[in-house]
Order: sequence, then C-alpha cells, then structure tokens
Amino acid sequence: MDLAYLDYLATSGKTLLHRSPAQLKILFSLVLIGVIIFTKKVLFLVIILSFLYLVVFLARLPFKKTFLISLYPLIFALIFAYASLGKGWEWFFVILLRVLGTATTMILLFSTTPFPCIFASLGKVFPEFLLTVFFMTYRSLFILFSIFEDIRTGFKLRAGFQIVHPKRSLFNLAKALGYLILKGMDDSQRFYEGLKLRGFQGKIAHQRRFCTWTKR
Amino acid sequence: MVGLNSLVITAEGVLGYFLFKSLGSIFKRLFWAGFFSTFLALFLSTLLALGIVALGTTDLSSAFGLGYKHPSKADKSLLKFESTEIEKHIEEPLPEFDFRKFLFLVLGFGFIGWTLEGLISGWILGYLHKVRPKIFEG
Repeated sequence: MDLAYLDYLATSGKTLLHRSPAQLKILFSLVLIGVIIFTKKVLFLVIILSFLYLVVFLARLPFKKTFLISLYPLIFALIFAYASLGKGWEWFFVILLRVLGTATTMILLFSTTPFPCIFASLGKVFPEFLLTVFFMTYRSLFILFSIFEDIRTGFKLRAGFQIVHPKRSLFNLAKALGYLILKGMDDSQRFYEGLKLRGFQGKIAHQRRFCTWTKR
Repeated sequence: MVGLNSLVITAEGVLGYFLFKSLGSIFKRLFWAGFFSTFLALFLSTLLALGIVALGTTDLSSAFGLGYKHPSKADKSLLKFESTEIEKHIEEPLPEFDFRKFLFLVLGFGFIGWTLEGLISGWILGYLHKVRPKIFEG
C-alpha cells in the first residue's frame, strides 16, 4: 500500500528535489547512508535526521505519513538494540537513529524519484536482464495492489477481521489471499501474452525524459 | 545486507518447497502438510538469520586466535615503546551484545508469527486445492 503511495508522491511532486536528476539523488542517498552507518555519536545522528526532516519539509512531503513509514524497520531494530543494552543507552539510541536515518533517506529517494527513473539510472550499473526483472516486479506489484483493493472490500463486507472470532477471521483472510494468488497467476499470464503480442523480447526501453532537470 | 536478506528468503522458499513435498506424503490432510512445512521453513530460516547475526556480532579473529593480540598486564613493562593512544585503545572494553536475549526475543515473537503464517498457508492451500486442483498435479 505504502509503495503505491510513495510512487504517487514521486510522480505528482513538482519541487526542486522532485525535478533534480535521479542519478544525483541516488548518489546522495548512498553517501548519506554510508555516513549514517559509520557514525557513532547520537548528536551527529540527530543532526543528520533533522536535516532529512528539513528536506522532507522542503520537498512538500506529508511529514506524518513519511515518519510512520520510516518506523516499520524499527520493530526488528528495537529487538537488536535491546539485546545490545550492555553497551549502554547511547549505543541503544545509535542503533535506533541509524535505522530511522537509513529508512528516512530511502523514503525520501522513493517519494521524490519515480521508479522508472531509478531503473533507468541503474541501467549503467546493472545488466539489462536484471532491470527488466525489477520493472516487471514493480508493474506486477501495482496490478496486485489494485486486485487486493477489491478483495479487501469484499473481505470487509464479509465481516472483515474480528478479534472475537479469530479462527473465522483468519480462515476468511486465507481464502481472500488464495483468491489473490489465483487472480495474480491469471493476470500475469495475460500480462505476458500482451507483451508477447507487442513484440516483447526481454528488453524494455527506459524513458529518461522525466528523470532530468526538465520542467514537468 | 541485501544479499544476505535474499539468501534467507531463498532458503525459506526452497525449504518450504521440499518440506511440503515430503510432508505431503506423510499427512493425509493438505492443511497439516502446509502448516508444518511453513512453520518449519520459517523456523529454519530464522535460525539462519540468527546465525548471520551471530557471525556479525562475534569477534572471529580472537575466537580463532588470529590477528593482533593485546598484551597482558604482565607483558606491559616490556612494551615501553607503545604510545599512550594504543594503551588507551587497549583499555577500552569491547562492546557487549547479549545474543541469548536476542535469541529469546526473536524466537518468542517468531513463534507467534510462524503459527499464524502456518495456519493461513494451510488454509490457502486447502482453498487452492478445492478451486484449482490442477496446480497440485505433478
């Protein structure tokens, strides 16, 4: 769900950060992640995180939603940080801030750069086959999301998830997911046949028009 | 990190496939074959992930007696040429990571997740078998 939302933010945004070249943003993100990983001071990590939140504000991204998405990896990091409490509280916060910083950097990249631009920029580093796989996965995910939306509505109409009836709820959820698998299989077959009809030979030309400084 | 994550996820899928194949002939009901193969595949892949964390948090050079050894207090008088900076580095305690605590938490939370995922997988397989049994042929 959040992937589709990030993609929407990346394609609808018109700020300077949205219009800047994808390659530059990827390079900047990699450097920033490197700095975050090797930093051992809480204060320095707080400064980096403040800078990232300033960029979120300047890119006119919804702060609350961006922050909530960046909290997902904290679940595993919290366990790791708790087990590392022997090193002291400073280390505990270093681990959490590192994870939060890395996640925010990646969210910033994906919410200001459309996925096709990222794939087009990676074309110089990765083989063509791998990029086609990335692109197909990306497309398939959005097709599955749209199917899942319909299934979710159906699931809610059939009482949805009720904590008082856990077995029945899980059983209904399993049936909904089973249907998603079948629908996904059928649609991927249709998708493949459609591509074959249009002369697909395992290579997709990437459009770079929207990945440079040009106005949108 | 991406490579290690791919390794764990691949192991999960491959283990699940072979476990389901072998358990399918033992259990009469598809649900139980699906449940136990999912549960065991997740358990084993979690152990693999824990192994990777253990390797990442263990000082292998000292475990195998490799690399530079810090001189003991008795030897200190013989090493007068060492700078104060090196001595300061020696006195710095090595960071601690309570792997047992980490193991207990991951396996504890994991057990709930594996059970739920096993149940859902079992029911999904039952549904697929009912709606499209051809998938399970061959």
